Amino acid sequence: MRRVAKGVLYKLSLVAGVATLLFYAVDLMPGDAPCFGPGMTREVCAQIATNRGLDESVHARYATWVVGALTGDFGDSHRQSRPVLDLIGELLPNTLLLSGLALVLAFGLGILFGVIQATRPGWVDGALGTVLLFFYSMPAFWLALMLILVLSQGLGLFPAAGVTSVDYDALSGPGRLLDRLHHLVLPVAALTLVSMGGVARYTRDSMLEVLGLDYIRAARARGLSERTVVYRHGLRSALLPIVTQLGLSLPFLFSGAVLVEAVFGWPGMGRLMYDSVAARDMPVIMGTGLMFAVIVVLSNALADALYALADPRVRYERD
Amino acid sequence: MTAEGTAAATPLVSVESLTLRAGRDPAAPVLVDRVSLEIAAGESVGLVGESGCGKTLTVLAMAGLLPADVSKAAESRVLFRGRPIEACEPSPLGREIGFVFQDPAGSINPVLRVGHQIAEVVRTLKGTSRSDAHARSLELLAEVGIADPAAKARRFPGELSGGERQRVGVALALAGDPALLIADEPTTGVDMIVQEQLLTLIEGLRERRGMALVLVSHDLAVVAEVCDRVEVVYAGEIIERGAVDRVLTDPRHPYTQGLIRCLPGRAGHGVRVAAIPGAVPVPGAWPPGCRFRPRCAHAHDRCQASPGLLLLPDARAARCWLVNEGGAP
Amino acid sequence: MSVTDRGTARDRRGGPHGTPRWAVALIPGLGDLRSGRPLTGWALLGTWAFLLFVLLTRSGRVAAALSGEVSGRGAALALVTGLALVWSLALYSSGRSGARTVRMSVPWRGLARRFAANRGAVLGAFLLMGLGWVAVLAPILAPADPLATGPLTDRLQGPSAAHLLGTDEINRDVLSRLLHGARVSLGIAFLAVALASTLGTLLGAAAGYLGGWLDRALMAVVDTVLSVPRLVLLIVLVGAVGRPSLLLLVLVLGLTQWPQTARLIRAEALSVRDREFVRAAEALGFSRTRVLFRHVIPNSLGPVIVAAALGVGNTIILEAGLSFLGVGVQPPHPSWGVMIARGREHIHTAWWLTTFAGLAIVLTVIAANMVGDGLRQGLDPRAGDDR
Ligand SMILES: Nc1ncnc2c1ncn2[C@@H]1O[C@H](COP(=O)(O)OP(=O)(O)OP(=O)(O)O)[C@@H](O)[C@H]1O
Ligand code: SF4
Ligand SMILES: [Mg+2]
Repeated sequence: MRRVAKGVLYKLSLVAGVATLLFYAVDLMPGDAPCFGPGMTREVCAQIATNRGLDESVHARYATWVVGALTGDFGDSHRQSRPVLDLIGELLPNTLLLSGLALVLAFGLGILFGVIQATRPGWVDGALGTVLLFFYSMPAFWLALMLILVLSQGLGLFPAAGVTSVDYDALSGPGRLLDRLHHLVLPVAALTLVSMGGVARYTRDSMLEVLGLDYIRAARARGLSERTVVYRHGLRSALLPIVTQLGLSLPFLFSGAVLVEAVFGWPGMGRLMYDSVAARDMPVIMGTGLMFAVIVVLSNALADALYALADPRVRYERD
Repeated sequence: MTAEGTAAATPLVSVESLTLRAGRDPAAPVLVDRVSLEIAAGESVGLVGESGCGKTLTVLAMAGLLPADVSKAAESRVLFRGRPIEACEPSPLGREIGFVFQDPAGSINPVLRVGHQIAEVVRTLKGTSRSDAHARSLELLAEVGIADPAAKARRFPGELSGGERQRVGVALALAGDPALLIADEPTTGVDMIVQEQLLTLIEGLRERRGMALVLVSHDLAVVAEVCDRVEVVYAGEIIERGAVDRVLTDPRHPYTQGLIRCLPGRAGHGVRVAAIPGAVPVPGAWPPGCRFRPRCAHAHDRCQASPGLLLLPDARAARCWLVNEGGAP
Repeated sequence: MSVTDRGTARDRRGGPHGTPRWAVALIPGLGDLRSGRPLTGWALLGTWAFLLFVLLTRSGRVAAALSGEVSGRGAALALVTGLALVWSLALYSSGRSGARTVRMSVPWRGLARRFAANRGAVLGAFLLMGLGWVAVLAPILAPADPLATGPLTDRLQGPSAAHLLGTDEINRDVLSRLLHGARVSLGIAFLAVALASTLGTLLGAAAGYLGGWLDRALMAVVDTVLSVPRLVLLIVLVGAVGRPSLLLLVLVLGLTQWPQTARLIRAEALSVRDREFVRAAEALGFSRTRVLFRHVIPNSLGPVIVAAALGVGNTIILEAGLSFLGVGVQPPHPSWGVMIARGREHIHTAWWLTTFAGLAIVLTVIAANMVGDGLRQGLDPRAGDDR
């Protein structure tokens, strides 16, 4: 019990650490909040800054922010004059949809390819490994551009931007769903292709290690079929570290798509973050940054928990 | 194909001139050198020798389980019921040959419940339904002497004691009701009491089931307790064979004589006789001529040439220049 | 192919296989090739051939650069010294009759042998070496000035004999920009990784070996930094600046990476500190600092090397991403990420702008990843090797 409490306390302190780090780091960075537009004289800019409390000291501003955050008030976006939480709530679902699909596909395909590689040594393993390494070594945003170039612009198969078509409102129910899926194909493909190589490699190595263990050879010797040996005994053990990997990959759901979102003009967290940073929109930077920290910390905890759930050895060694 | 009439005379397993090398290369070091032996149905045979002499590899080859990095010479043959073991369809593994591995902890999947693992083998080998297989797994656990099988079946291997894990290993080998049980040092890593219990268990199982047994051990006393016949292995070769009681009372090879002198309680009036001087040469470093020569007290000029395995009356044999049909060297 | 790093007895007597000594002295790498050191041999021979080729085909340019008439003096100097160095090495080793033995401690020797036996890793290493030379020699190799614009009426030319990879939106030669881009992208990546590795190694090893409050404090910092996805952290940090300088980019990329290295080496140091040789050194009364640098760090370096190789690829991708967003390398500096970003606006009419810059990234990152994999497998023989 004490250990659990200590763990929770440590994780909370990490989140607090991130908040402090972000606030002071952004403040330290050279440059000022951009202030331009019609009627933005030097005086007006200064007035706005005063209204936002920007002429106070960093410490005072940080204290104000902390007090607000503790009461659940993350402030309003300077740029859009809307509550930070509203903005996040509006854009997060788009990001989750995109990277959630990509994460599921990347793990599904990655595990599949990894198992194929591990069970078919020789040229299948080599060829698959080379192809996967090729995609794995690409910047996702560049692959996205190449997909647009070939599949959208060249062959006209998929739309190159946006979440829906212009005539979305005129479509029927199933038509709308199809339209959304149609728009998802390219961004999801770009993200999946780039990330599945890592999963496949991990699966392959883990699988090879497990398949060389004594109990796998023993299982064969007991007359079990090769299928049972590879999938029920081998894969089951090999997947344990991959479960952890899955937990650790969860932050990807929120941030992995930033650049691909930029390519496809996808209204998600990536754009929110990028725009707010460019405008030094402190409340939004802090709100999103904190959200990421919480997610990472929770994912790590979840990864541990998943591992303990999946691996009986961890379970009984704990008692 | 063996003719029907000779089926009764066909041994369960016969190993003919088994030569094993560490690697595919014909020049690779030899690990097991022209070993020939036969196991008849219902018979219990012990394989004795010091660590590294090739016992495990020999029995692995018997079951057709050689690791990929060990190769078998072209002239070597392993026949199961008269047919090459690789050609048997379906594979006799599990069904006809049960294998208890040297390291029981490592040979059981740590992330699956033991009951599940036994039932899985039963279902695969016997084609029974899930519930029947489960019931059978409990019977097997009881048969190998595990108390409260229903509770233990739900445990993971890591939650059992070392002795219990060994018993589970035996249960897994028995799941297909094999005609031959191969047990590779089934008593490594357990204390004397558990070792005694396990040996009694294996002996009892063999008698009740009428199985043949191949028991591998570095301890002549263990083999003496359980087996009818013994094959003594030294540096990849069989150097002596015969009925256990005959070999114990009348060993022909100097190495076997040394082994017997080392047995506790046989040294006479508590005098601890020094073990055989020197150590087993490692594969690739076997001396020319008789491989026991550097450690042998009786070595003489003739021993510079390799002695053959001399067949003696009463199905005995020994590999030493001093052996004659009459008696001890 | 079997690779050893020891000369055979025969080559000590001079030309093995009848290779005359003057040839060994004249052609770098030949001696190594003839005495069973193909890796060193091919590396030397390849470097020599490449540099010589560049010098011969671009001699006018090199001379002009050396005399300061055109830019690229540094590159020209590097070319000349590189060539001189490789040649003197050949002379030196031929003088010593090829009996050059590389002395390595046992674990590193195993690593070198397994690395050399890994075809992909060797290919990656050679590729990376080649790309490194391309980056260094960019001003001499590039057919044109990467910043020189042509007439705008003629912009966005497709690949042709005059412009092998076409021209961009203000009619600059894409190939030249690509070659100079290697300088920026590789330079940033190598410097950032070097910074992160040094910092991470020192801090991580110290934390793991010394323990106590230092360890706790350091790990709290590491965990904090690792609690923000790296890309997010980078965007926040450089985004706040708006137009970061190259130096700032290196700093930010390096300072966001060291915690990973520190965590790796700390774990390693924790296990090393209980090994006998460390205990023995302590018992002899050596200072903690000395033990740290002489024993703990050298024996914990394995994972750091792997992480560094993989980190180079990762950093190149990150830098390209930042530049793509406009918060990384700033135009007109020709970074590959910037080229992709600029090219994106013209993707409908000028595919070559984005395509070639991206391929350059892919090539470099693949090479870095192959080297990283080779090192990983070399350090841990069990790790997914070809069976
Ligand atoms: N896969 C393998 N590849 C190469 N050599 C092997 C392999 N397996 C075993 N050997 C070598 O073959 C020799 C015989 O091994 P084996 O395992 O049969 O010995 P053993 O008699 O069972 O010894 P122990 O009592 O230690 O189990 C040993 O020297 C061993 O090092
Ligand atoms: S052959 Fe010679 S050396 Fe070998 S056991 Fe017999 S007496 Fe000893
Ligand atoms: Mg053995």
